[in-house]
Amino acid sequence: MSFFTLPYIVRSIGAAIAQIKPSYEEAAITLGAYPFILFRSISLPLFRDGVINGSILAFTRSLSETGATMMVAGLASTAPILVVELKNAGQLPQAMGASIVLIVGAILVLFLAKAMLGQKVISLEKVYPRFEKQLTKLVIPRNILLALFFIFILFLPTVFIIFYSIGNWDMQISSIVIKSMAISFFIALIVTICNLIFALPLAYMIARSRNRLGKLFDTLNEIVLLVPTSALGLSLVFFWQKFLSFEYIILILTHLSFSFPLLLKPLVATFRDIPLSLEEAAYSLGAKSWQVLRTILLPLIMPAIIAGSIMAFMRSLSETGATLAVSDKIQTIPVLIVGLVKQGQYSQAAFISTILFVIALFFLFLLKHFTYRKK
Amino acid sequence: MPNVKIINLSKKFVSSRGEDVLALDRLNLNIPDKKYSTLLGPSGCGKTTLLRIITGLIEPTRGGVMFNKSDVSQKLTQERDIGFVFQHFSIFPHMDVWHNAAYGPLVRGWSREDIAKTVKRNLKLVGLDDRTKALPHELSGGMRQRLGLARALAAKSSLLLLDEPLSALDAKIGAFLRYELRKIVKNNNLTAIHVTHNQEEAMTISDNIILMKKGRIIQTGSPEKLYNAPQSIFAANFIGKCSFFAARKHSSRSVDIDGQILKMPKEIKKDRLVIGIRPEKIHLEPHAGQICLRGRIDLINFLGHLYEYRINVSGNIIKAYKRIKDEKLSRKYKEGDTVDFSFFRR
Repeated sequence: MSFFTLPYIVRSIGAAIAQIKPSYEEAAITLGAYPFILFRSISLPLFRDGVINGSILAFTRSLSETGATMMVAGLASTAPILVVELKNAGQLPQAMGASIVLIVGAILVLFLAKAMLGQKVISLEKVYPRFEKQLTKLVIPRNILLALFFIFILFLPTVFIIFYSIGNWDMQISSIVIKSMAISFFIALIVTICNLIFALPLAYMIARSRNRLGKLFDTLNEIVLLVPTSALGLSLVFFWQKFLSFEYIILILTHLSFSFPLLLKPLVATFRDIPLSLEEAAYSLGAKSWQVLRTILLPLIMPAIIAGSIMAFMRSLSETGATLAVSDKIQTIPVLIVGLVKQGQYSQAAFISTILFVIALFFLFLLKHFTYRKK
Repeated sequence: MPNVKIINLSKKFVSSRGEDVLALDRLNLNIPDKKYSTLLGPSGCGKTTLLRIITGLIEPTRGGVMFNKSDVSQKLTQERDIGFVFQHFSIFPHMDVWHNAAYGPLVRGWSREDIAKTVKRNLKLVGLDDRTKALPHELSGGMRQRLGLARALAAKSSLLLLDEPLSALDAKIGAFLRYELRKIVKNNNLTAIHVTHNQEEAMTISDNIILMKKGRIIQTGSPEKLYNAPQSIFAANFIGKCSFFAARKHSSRSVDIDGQILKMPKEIKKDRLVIGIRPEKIHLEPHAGQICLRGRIDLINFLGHLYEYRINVSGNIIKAYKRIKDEKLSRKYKEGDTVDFSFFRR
């Protein structure tokens, strides 16, 4: 589980650390603070919000994961799987109940964590200078431990599928596989484009609004991010069933809703980073609104648009739980892989996974390219 | 207690383009004990780099730093026992005034009574003793820098390092804090090393100015020495106002400025030379027989306490200051007039 949740925490903390002025840490050093006490009295309190935000993300990501759990755990069925299975078994009331528990649970976690944000917790009353100075020497063992964790828990198992696939070469590309790919990419593409159209103006509004409306949207956005996707999928099925009968449209709407926050978040953050005075300067020089948008805002947030789009695209491409909750007929790639594993066709599953993996690597490369070019 | 010695110190940076940049070039320097010293120079001259090397926040490429005859080059910043004041204050945003000021003694594990005593004393020294519970964002810029000073002093280090401590403040608040800073350093027998690019600040606050340019030391000495006896055009120009003009040797005791002969106080060795004159050393009403130079007044500027005359001597602009109380004088000259002027002896 730590395998796919860790990146969420690392990203949030990384972003939080990057925002701390290094001079705070330098000030503490000149005042005689050794690394360990510096960490707990200055760095940790200052990036604690990042820790909490990352933890929320990791917690809910783990809570909502369906695909990976289904493949690993034959017996232990977690809540999202239960939702899918109950729905497929036709026990809709029970599925609904499980979904409600998941949704309410996710919202509760959000509010608990939000309550923790912004609270002052520092304890400098107990200081052990000599002991804490000794702790500084633990840097090398710490680094080794981190490296081992990274290699054996995160990295090697992830890429192992490639070696497995090469060892058990099964390059059958049946029409089912091609169809699945086409469905997945089609849905992901539509979802990303629709998201962009709505996310851009909303992000601008949230970033620039000074009233509570912006904050409300921000929180709503986070709730959507937190709700387990299979519960979300089921919820959307019930909602749209009355108006729409076409499962593909419901599926696209479901994918829209859970990938939307992933796109919105970086956009809001980037809009906030653009000083209002830049827009004002453009207006003072005679630019019309759409000219300001085209010549000032869009170029400045392009990296965020691309990064957010890739995140949303990949999230849609890899989603299992929501897809299963919406339909038991539509086979996207992840659904197909889960099905193959269940049938014991490991080498075929590994081959498709490898293809998916290569695509993900390609997008990761794109993502890094565009986010670093900004600096 | 501490006298700081810099021995053959060099620092190379690698720029973002991958080129080597020599920030400090074989510096040798002795910073006297219990004096207020200033590292003065234009931006990019290496003064902040030097200060950070003394602090231990940057490692030098070559050379070393001695505190009081012991080499501290291998020591961590934490072991150097210094106080450091930051340009942008760097007050910990998540701690109140008291905890900020107490941070040094706290992390050193002082006893509660000692911490309470030193914090109280230092907050009183900077006039913040009634704001102990305030959070940094509730303080003005000037107050934050006072807190920065109290925080740096709390652990009773006798070496105080200040990195442009007044440049992020309003000019008036900065000028006021300047005197307080000097008073606190002097009253507590501290050694201070103060980095600034502001020559007026350096002149008013220091006992000793170290003038730097492009990673080298140009001249060191008291403000009076640097002002009255600069050893280079750069020093004369950077500290105070100075007008320059080119001249040729006429005889061993006089020079030729485009046809006008000017007597010199010293023997002249070179054929071509540059002469610098401070504006306040120019005497606009010379006595008979004392006439030295003739020029035309291009511009008269009213500066409040002074009139500034810009006198054109064959294309060279020479500035002269006259105090405002010479009312007769102010009415006497107009722009475009031709004037004779001499120089006051220093």
